[in-house]
Amino acid sequence: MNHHLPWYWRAGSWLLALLLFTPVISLVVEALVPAGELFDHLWRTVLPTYIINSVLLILGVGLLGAMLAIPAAWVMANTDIPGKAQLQWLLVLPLAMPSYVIAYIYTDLLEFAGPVQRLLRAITGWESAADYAFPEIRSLGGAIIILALVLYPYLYLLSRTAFLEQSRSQILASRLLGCSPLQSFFRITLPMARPAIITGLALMGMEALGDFATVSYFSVPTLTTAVYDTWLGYGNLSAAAKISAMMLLVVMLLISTEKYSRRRQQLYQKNTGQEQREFVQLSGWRKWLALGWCWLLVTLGFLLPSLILVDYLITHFSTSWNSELFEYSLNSLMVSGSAAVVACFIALFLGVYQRLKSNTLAKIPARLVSTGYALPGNVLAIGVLIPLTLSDNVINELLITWNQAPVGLIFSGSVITLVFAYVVRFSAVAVGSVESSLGKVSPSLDMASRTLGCNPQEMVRRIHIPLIRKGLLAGLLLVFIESMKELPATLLLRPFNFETLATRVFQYVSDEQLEYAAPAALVLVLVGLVPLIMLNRSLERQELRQEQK
Amino acid sequence: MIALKITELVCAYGSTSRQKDNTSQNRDLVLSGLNLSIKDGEIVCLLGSSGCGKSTLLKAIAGLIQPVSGTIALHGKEVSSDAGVTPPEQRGIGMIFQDYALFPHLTVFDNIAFGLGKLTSVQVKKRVQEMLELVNLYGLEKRYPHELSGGQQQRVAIARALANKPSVLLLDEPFSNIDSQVRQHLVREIREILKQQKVAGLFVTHSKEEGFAFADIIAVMGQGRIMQQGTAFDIYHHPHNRFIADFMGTGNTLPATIVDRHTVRTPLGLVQSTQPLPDNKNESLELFVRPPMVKVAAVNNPHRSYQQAHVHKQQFMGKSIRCEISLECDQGSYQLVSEQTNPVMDGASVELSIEPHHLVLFDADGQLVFG
Repeated sequence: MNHHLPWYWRAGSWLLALLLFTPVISLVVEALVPAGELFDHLWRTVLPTYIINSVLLILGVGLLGAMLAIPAAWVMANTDIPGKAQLQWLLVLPLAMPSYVIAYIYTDLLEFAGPVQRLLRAITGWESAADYAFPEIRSLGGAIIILALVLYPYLYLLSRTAFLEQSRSQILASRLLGCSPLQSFFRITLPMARPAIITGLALMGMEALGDFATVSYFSVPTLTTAVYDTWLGYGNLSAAAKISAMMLLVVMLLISTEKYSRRRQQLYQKNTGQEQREFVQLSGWRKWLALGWCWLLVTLGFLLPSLILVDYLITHFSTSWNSELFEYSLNSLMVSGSAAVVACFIALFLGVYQRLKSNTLAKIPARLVSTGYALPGNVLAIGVLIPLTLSDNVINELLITWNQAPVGLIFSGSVITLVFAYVVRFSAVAVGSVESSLGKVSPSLDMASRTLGCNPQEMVRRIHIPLIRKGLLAGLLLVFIESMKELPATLLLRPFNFETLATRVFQYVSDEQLEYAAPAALVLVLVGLVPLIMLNRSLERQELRQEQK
Repeated sequence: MIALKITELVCAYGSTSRQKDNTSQNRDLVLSGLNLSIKDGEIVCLLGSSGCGKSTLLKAIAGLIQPVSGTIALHGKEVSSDAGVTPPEQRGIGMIFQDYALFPHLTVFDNIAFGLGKLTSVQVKKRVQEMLELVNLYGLEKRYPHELSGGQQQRVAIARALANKPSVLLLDEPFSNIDSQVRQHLVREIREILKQQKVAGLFVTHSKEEGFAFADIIAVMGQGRIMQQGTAFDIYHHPHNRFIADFMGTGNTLPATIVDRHTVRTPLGLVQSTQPLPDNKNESLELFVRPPMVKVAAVNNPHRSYQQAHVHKQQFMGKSIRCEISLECDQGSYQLVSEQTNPVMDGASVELSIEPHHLVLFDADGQLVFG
């Protein structure tokens, strides 16, 4: 069904889509122009090391993350160990922890002057660092451990779902054909879950690649820190864009790996008959190992850091609970709130456009808008800066030629830039939310409302908007939360002296004073918990529905 | 007066706009030159196999898709032609959907009142109450659609579509989601409502029984056009071609030649016609016979019979018994179906005959020669 829309709807959709797509275009264009002196210099000296570090980080986080997540996912899907109902969502919580907060806390615990090494020295009688070898946490290895600890839930969630969808009879068949339990895990369970596992690994890889805070705190130079240094240190946008484009290449590689792995997903995840789910009975040491493993992840990834944050909060409450905190909270609230409202407006506009125009062409704007989500924060920031500085320069040049006083950096130095960047990065979330709730509205409702006398705009107002209100609100909330937590793009784009909760917490982490920013850090953690609770509720409903079938 | 008149309507898959450069030959046509007219107060059933374009036709009438060419007129006023296309909201058409399409966020009252924007609130209230009474849902106006049974939802859909006094009501497989036990009852009830409101109805289904029970006129669709339009009895007994004959129900075909004005020769011997036959002797034709006309009799002396007919399957159908019979004779072997009241022994040799009736004869291309 195809409805007539006023011309401005179509024009607006395409305009918005192109506007939100300019950062990607800018990066591609910038990557194609010949390299400048600085980039050549970096390329000859440090860049290869940075690339190697980034690749090692991605691979390390993937490998360690898989080792953490897959056993936990299997236990949650296939056994009924005590406390499973709580554990299966507790295991997701580390995702709410900003990586740099955890990095700081573990550095504090594990460094030479920290409680762990002091205890070690007290027990053994060693006196100085020369007496014993203790791994240095501020290293590539340390960064891998920290990132794996907060990113493993991606893989956990996806592989748990994949394991749950597997039919028990396939495992039984393999056992009857002579596999031991471990063999059938490696020959049946794992290969069948491969598409989901690779998707999870790709997501973790993208997050690890885009991570700035942890590697910066640990002084591990990667492509991300290189982008940051070339722009904020050398002020060289072109070189920063070149490095960003290299990161974009890695992102594209990860996305295509993920797409490739899913090409035959239907084949792997064919849901044959819903039989009663039978659990593997774990007993003795196996049960304790499984329990210990899951609780270890939850403790290290969430409980321990949260407790330490609460401890910081209580001990330093009088100094950290101050007007600064409210100022930054207000800043965060304002920028993220505006981004959320704008993103939802765009999502509604484009979502409705593609529903009402049922041709393939009309689906493009929403897809263009959604590409921003795949960009690492700092890459996006550079992509946003290129067109904005260009337009600032053009405006000022024009003013000078017309003998007017130049206005300075109206775009690239303002809060608008920040909001724009958040919108580019997170609109995909709102678009997805609107699309999925519009998808649940039966097309016959459109036809019914038209035959009952509604023109297309009335139909949107009287039928679509009331019916997708929940999805729209969820989108609003998610964009808001993601924007609140965003750090790398904010660091690059914020106006001078403008701090959000995230940049403030990171600043305190860098200054080795997280104790004094505990309230802000806790707010970030709590805000991050909201989408996880929402996700968990929707997963539970889904599983309930499957059981009812 | 003619409520709806469709002339030479052409619709294509994926046609998003009326094509000026008529490129329709290159695309898959769903409707290719369809003609149909409905009188005021008449209920017409569009009968056809799935995918034959029934729903497309309804959507074109409602203005929900754009035809490639042809005209659609409602009470003499063209709403779709080369001159332009009226948007659906200005056509004054009611439509009932397979899933009822009730608005889940509105109460029964608000659903029914949805299209009554032009009336004052007092008028709206009065009209909705009338409608609730009409469909027998008085007192349920505050409920939401999900709080109603399937049949009740169906009635709300009817009330909503009729509230605006549409000139034509379109019904797209409206009974397919209703339990078979209540379906018969609901079909009768809704037919009475339409008759009482004197609204012209166009009803789409793939179920013959529903069509027979609901409609005054049946229109059989196939190959993108209306193949035959008439009463159910006419179409069943005098189908215009083999396709329609088979679509309307099981039948037997036997080679036949006309012997004289009242007789044809078939492998079963001579068959009498109650109506005078045309004069094309010696042409090889096909006789189409519905199962009840095939009579089965036990053979007293099998050696004397020139037919070798055996019952190889029997199925009890309630009112009758369906027999599958294989026939061996000089002209070849045939499979026949008969419906009769008394059971026969399985595998028994039987003698077949065809009762004299208004015969139906097709030519070699399956077109009606006589009937």
